[in-house]
Amino acid sequence: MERPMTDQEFVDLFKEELYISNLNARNKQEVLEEFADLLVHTGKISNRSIVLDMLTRRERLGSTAIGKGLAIPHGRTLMARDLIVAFGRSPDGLDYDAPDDQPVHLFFLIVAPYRERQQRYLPALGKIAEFFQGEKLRDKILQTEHFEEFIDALWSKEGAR
Amino acid sequence: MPSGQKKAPGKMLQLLVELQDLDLMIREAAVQEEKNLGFEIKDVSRLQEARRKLADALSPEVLKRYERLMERFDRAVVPVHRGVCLGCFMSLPTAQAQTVKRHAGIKVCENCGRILYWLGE
Repeated sequence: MERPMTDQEFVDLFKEELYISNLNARNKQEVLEEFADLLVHTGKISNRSIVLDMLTRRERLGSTAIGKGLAIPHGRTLMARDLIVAFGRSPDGLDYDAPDDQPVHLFFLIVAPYRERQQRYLPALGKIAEFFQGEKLRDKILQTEHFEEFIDALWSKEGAR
Repeated sequence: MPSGQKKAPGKMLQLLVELQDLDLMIREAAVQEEKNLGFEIKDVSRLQEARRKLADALSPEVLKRYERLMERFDRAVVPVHRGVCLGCFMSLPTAQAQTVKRHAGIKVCENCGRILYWLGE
């Protein structure tokens, strides 16, 4: 049974090597491709096409955009050795089939193994949705251009500890 | 003749991993945990066509073995890490571990029978 994730555990999920300040992607498929490339280049996964196919199929099941400019492409795959969390920012915003029809600016990628010892996959998904409820934090994150600023902005969330 | 019979062994292994990823996605969609987190989950049948195509690309023997293992163990393909099958946690013989590392085809764990996939160290 998963337990709720603390703010510290949540912030610790983010790594500088998996932070994209400005996504080059111009559409949904390119977002997934850019993230898949990042995972290969950082040695997180060894087979790009398996992970890309998994993420693309997950989008077919229903868009992972959750409104308010956020999307959380995610899924489980044998390719992941551990929970992988990446972040990408699109200052101009992209059409991602969001439920509120608004462009998506903030992308959180979560890729998990089938079984994860610490069971952080579902809590991480829930935590992102919860963490970014407030417009103030979303706007702040959208303005960040460097990883350190991004982490500082996460900690600036009201009530974060 | 199903196209799967002409596939290179390495390609067959990749298709098996994709099939397992997809089967587990379909299974998770059914229990609706993500829906409870606020994600939109449309009809799972959208994924059945992709599943059929993947299954058709495999040879009947490989598909049968995969489905039998899924029934028995819940996972048919398991990672190998540091020479250990992560399905049953038994060490593989050195020679077999090297073969798995090369992704030179479908290799099974001599202890549990699961299909092995080397993920890197």
